[in-house]
Amino acid sequence: MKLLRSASAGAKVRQDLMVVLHPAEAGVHIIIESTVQSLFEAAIRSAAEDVLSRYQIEHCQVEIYDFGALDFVVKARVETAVRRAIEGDTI
Amino acid sequence: MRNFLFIPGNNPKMLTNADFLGSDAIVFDLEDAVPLSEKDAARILTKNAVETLQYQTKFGIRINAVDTEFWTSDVHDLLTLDPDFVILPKVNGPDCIHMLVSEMEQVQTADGRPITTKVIALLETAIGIEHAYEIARADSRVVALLLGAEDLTADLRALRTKKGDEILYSRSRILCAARAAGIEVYDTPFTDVEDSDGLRDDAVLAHQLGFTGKAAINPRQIAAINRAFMPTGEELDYAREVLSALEEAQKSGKGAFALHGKMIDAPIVNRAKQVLEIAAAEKA
Repeated sequence: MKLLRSASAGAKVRQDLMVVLHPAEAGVHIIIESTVQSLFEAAIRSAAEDVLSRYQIEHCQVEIYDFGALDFVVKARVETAVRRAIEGDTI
Repeated sequence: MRNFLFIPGNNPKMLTNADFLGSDAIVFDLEDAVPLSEKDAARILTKNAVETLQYQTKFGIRINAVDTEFWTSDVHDLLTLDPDFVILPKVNGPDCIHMLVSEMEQVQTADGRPITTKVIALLETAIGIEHAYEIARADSRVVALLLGAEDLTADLRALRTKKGDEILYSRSRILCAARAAGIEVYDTPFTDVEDSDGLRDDAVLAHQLGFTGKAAINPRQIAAINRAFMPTGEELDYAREVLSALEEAQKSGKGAFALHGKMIDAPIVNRAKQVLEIAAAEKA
C-alpha cells in the first residue's frame, strides 16, 4: 500500500509517543528517540514494523519520539499515522 | 453497578490504569473527552488497549451521537470487542436507539458471534427528557437511562448548580420512566472533583431519589459514591427481616405472607436480596 501524504499521530507526553510518517522512495526507515532508548528501542522498532507490515507499507520514513509508551500504544499510534497517510481526511 | 468511571479513550496512561481504579465499570469515552481531530486515534487506541490489556472490570464505550459522522465507525470498529454496554449520547427519542441497534445488529465478534452489548441511553436534552419513557422502551437492549446534566442545563438555559434544583424535574422524570419500563437509571456526574462534601451530598440525594448508581469522572469519586449507595442500617435490618419471614413462610407451606402488616411479594423479596448482596460486596 502506498502513502498518499505525510501524517502524524500521538503526543509528546508521558506514556505516549509522537509518530511522524513520510512517504519515501525505497524501503522502510525508522528513526527512534526514546526516554528509554537503551532498554526498549528494539521493542519499539518491532512494534512499528509489525503495523507497517500489516498494512503492507514498503516505502516510508518513520520518526518516533517515545516517552515511555507501552507496546499497545506504539502500535496504536503507528496505525493511526498510517491510516491518516493512506486515506483521505480521515477522522 | 453503583458507579461507572469515564476514561478518555485517547489517554494511554488512564487506559493502562483503568482496571485498577476500583470502579464497578469503566466507560471508554470517545465523545466529549476526545477532540474532533483525534476521534480516529481514540478509536484505534481504545481497541488496542482492550485487546491487549484484557480488562477484568466490566467495561462500556461511550460512542459519538448518531447525528455525527463518527458513530458508525465507533460501532463497527469497537463493538466487535463485545463490550458489556454502549452509552449513546444525545438521545432525543426512540429513533436514535433504533438507528444504533440496527447498526449493532450488523456487528459480530472476532469469532463470528452476534454481540451481546447492551445500551445505556444518555439523556441530556429537554426533548430527550420528555421522551424518556419511549426511549426506555425503545428496544430490549436498553438496560438503563443516564442523566447528563451539563448539556441538559445548557439546553434548558438554566444555571447549573451543586444543589441541583434546576435538574430536579429531569431527575424525577427519567427515574419514573426507567422504573416504569423496568430498567436501571444512573445519575449525572458531579463535576467538581475537588468538592468531596458536595459529591457526598449529591450522591446521597441520588440514592434517596431512587437512582441505581452514579457516573464518576475521577477515580477519587468512586469510594464516596459507593458509600452513598450503600444500604442504610435500617434497609439492611428490613432486608434480613424479609428473608427471615420468607424462610418461615416456606417452612409453613405458605405462599403469601405479611411483614409488619404489609403483604410481601416477589419484587420486595428480590429487593431485599439485592440490598444484602450490595452490602456483602462492599465488605468483600
